[in-house]
Amino acid sequence: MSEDTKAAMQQRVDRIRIFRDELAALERNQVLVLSEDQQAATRDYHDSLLQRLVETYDVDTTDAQKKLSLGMQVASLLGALALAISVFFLFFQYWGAFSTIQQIGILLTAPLLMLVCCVVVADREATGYFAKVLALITFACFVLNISVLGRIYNITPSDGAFFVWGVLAFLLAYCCNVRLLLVAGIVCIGGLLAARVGAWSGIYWVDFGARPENFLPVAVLLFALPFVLASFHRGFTGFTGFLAIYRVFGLIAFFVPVLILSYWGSASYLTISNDVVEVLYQVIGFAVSAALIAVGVKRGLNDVVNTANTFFILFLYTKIYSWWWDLMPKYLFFLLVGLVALLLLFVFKRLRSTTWGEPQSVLS
Amino acid sequence: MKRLLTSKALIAGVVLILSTNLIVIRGALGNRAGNPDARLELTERELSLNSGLLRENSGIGLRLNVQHSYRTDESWLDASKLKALGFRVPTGRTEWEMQRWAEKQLPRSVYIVLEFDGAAHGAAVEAARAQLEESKRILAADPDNKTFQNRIESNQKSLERLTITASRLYSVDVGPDPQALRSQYRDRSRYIIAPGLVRPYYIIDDQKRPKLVGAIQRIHVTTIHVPYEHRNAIDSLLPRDSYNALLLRPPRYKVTLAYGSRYEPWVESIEALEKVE
Repeated sequence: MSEDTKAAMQQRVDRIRIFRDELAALERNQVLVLSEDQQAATRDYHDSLLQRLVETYDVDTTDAQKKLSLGMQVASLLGALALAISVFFLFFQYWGAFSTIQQIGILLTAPLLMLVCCVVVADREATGYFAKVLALITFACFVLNISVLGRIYNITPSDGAFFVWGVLAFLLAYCCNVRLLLVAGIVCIGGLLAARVGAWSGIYWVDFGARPENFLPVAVLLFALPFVLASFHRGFTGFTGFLAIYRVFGLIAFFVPVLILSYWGSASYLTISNDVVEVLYQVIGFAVSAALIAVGVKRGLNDVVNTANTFFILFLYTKIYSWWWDLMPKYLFFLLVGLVALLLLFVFKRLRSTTWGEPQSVLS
Repeated sequence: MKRLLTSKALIAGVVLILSTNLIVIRGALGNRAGNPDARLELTERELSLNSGLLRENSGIGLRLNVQHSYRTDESWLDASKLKALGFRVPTGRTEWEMQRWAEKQLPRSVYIVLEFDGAAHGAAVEAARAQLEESKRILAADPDNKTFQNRIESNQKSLERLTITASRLYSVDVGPDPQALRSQYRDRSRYIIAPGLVRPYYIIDDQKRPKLVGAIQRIHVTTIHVPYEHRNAIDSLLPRDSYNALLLRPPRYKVTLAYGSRYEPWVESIEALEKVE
């Protein structure tokens, strides 16, 4: 079963619950009173629909069920992470007792076996939790496979490993709707691209992090990708949260390097004075985060607004710290920090009321 | 219901896993095919048991110990060598500008020549011996000099370490082209060519003069896996503890180490050496 379809069906169930609550409120206030026939028809229709959705998609119809589902999600995430780590430790505990051929056999068989198990379980299990766990273990087994092969044969480390890990992570993320694997895929492929950008300028790939600007093309690509993928995602009734993950990681890949460069100009490719580099990136940081808040508000992209907002505040507070920490007594410094926070609160409140509108406009 | 986890995805995953393994193993076997680029008989001095491994790791690795012999006043890794490696060394700049230029540089991928038990090691031993003799001479002239009494002891230890336990593998040259280096260092039982990284530094040398030098930042493969079939000779030496490395004792095993066409090493054999009490 496709998890994204399940999410869409869960939304339908939630809408039915909200509709019933609101209808009851309207009836209590004598605003809208359905006839008994209409009430019965509506109730029967929704009851049969809910029963069908529960049987087919294992959706939650009550608050208690939803809370339990959340607990199951957390348990499956923790379980998957723990099992993936245990795969590493299990292998390293015993690999010294095997010949090279046996080691390679185990390393190759493990991800293949887990992949097959993942497919079989995903076919048979309605909730998808166990398939997600198996998808994460498959990925962990493949990472172990390639990294240990490199160790067995004393191979010079290569960024090519990130490519194949990233491809498998994306494949499993889209097959089993696992957001954690989407993040893993983004990190692997993003790291690979940044390493290649660094390699084009003559540095060895391992040192790609030493020039934070290597991440900027990756950031642009990640941020632009959801606009390209939107139609593909719509074709599958939307992978829940996938597009937001691309955008958020695009913004992180942009703002973190800018933040680093705004205080560590010597890490830049630019050959101008370090002080000028730092001021330049500080201005870029403030301007882009403010602009993205505006874009996010305009286009209704909450993830963009929240991430840009976080970095705007981060830029502001790091700047305040570098300006004032040594200049003034601590009570005054924290007083000013508090006042700035209140000022920001006031600005965001104004922004919220003017852009998202008053309650009546929401209702209308 | 749109099911994405289809047989196509399964096939794609299987093909990805199998083809990646095939490429990696083929490349590794290709490295070992034909005559090795270098084959040396090293000992525990050059290949110590990797004490950095976790307790919960049953695999054995040997750490390649390389001495970087150059000193600031006689560095062979100088500005002209850095230029040959592709660093665009500026000319006619002020000291501050050169310092800033060097700070901006990141390591470059190069090939490093490692010499085993050759002139570099001989020079290091001679230098240690000369230092000891010099300390003895000064102490003979001034027998109550406490500083030189202690210095003789430390000089003695340095010399013993160099002749008994220290690695005899020294980095002696670098270059961008491994074949050009091999044609220069033809003895395959004495010279290893290994990929690594070099970066420039702007330093003040012993004569207080600013100077541009290069430094080997890393050799890519320094932990060498010991396959199961070769671990008998060193199994008895486990558990590995880092304190043992500090003991002055003769090497306990010798290793035949080969480097292949991709300049990646592997262990050909390990033999236990006779115990010297």
